[in-house]
Amino acid sequence: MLTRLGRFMSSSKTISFFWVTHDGRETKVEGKIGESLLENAHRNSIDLEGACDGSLACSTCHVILSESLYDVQPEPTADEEDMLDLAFGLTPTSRLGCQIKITEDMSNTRIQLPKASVNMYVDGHKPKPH
Amino acid sequence: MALRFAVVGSGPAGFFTLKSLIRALPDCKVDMFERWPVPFGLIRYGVAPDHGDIKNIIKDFTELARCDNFRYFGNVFVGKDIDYLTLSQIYSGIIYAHGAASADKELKIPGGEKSKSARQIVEWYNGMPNCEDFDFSKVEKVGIIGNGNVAMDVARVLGSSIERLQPTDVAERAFEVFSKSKIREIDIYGRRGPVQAAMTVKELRYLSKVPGISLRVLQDEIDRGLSPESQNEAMLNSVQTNQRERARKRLFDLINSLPREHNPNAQVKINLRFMLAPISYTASYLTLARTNLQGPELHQVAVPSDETFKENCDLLIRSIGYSSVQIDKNLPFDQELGTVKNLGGKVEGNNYVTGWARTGPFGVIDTTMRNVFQTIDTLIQDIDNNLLQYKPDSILDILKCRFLTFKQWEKIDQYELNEGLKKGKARSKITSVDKMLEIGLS
Repeated sequence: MLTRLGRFMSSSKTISFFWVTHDGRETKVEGKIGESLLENAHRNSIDLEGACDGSLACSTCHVILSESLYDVQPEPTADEEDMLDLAFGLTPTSRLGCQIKITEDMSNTRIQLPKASVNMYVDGHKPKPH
Repeated sequence: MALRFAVVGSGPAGFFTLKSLIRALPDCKVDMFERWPVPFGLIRYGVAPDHGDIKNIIKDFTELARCDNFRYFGNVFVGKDIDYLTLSQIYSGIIYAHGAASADKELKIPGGEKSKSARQIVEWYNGMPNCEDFDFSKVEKVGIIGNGNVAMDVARVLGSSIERLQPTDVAERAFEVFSKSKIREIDIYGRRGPVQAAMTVKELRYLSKVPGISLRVLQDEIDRGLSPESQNEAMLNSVQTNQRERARKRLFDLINSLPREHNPNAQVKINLRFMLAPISYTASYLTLARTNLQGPELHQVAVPSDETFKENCDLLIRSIGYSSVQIDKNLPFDQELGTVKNLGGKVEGNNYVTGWARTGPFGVIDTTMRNVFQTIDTLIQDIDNNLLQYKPDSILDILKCRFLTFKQWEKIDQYELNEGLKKGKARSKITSVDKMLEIGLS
């Protein structure tokens, strides 16, 4: 892993991939090897929040990877998993964009943004006493 | 004439609203009203001093606030300085995002009135103006009723060494009290079991890692909470198939991994306790009853048994929830739910609501953000249906009270940061409204 990362960090290579919004719109972007998906999104004006600035204190940069891309990522840390627990519309291939570095594996892949909002709280719902 | 919006409240919901409005309607104008001179609501007065990471969001909000479409009106209390009907007349749309941190639930047991509110303790150590002062100088053992994230924050801050708190932006009035603290032990009481614990796994993990604090659970209380229904709620014995089960299982695993005995060298011992209902509180004793879980999966309630006992408790803190209050008599409000009445974020006419004023105090910042998106979607539909009108700029003719602009807040910000720097703190918060106004308007 270290050698793989090390090789990528030192290169100024770029790849192309696609951001896909929740309504299916695709935006082709250039990704710098070694930058995070969150950094890439902000550089390309993709509507991905990053409220805590990549400090693993929120889950607003939630992204959904393809299965094959998910499988080649380093395992999420417990801290990232803690935040994924709270992410909206979690899927089996969800990750936080601030923790995923762009690698050559991502060439031409699609990175999906989750559903923008979920009716988690039905207005007028009665909280249940415990 | 332009599409002019008023946003009530400058916390996360208010600023996410600003962000969504500007993104959707780049030519619109947004005025934000905040009751305090200083902005950011719960980020400033709710997030714990040792949670610097989430306070990073202020950078993003500050950048947003510098855009030309935006004006900040600090020290303007909607409902007092300007009312609902006036705002409704002079703005194209009003988005209420004033939060929920106002009205506390009572602890309905004999002696419950002697308990202190966790929310008020949080506001006190975070430097909110006009707070009750607390004195813990005679307190050795604390009991906290409720085990949500506010309880985790209070336990962590009360259990922290002064060395740990010193560099944070903790209010100096609280730091002085903490430096004389004799607190040795904190019990956190949940009526139900570990599967129904209310905190998020992140906050519990954080508490478990604080140097000097020993956190433990009691095996008999864990066992008592593991009814067959509870085990199913987290699918403890098979595969978790949805997000709720996954989160429940991960939280249970963390709770179950905590030690059963305290580290004898710890400065402060915290007991995470379950299946206990408070019965009464007198002087320095809390009487508790062991509970049993009854009812179907996901709807189990804790029923107190006849088995009662006493625990020492010099300070009883209730962390059992709070709600919003009606800030203006004309703002439609559900007194029972403690939220502004709405459908999909729409209140009535050109009035909308979002964040905790809409939902009550639930969820994390991501929840609030998604909630804002939904309210703004509703508002955009109304624009598409020509329900909102263009308006002239008239607020400055109407507003009679003194208010602060965002630039004036930035003077206060700079002052607080400079004072903090001198004292080796992240920030030295001003806790008096008069002093805020004096520095801001100077």
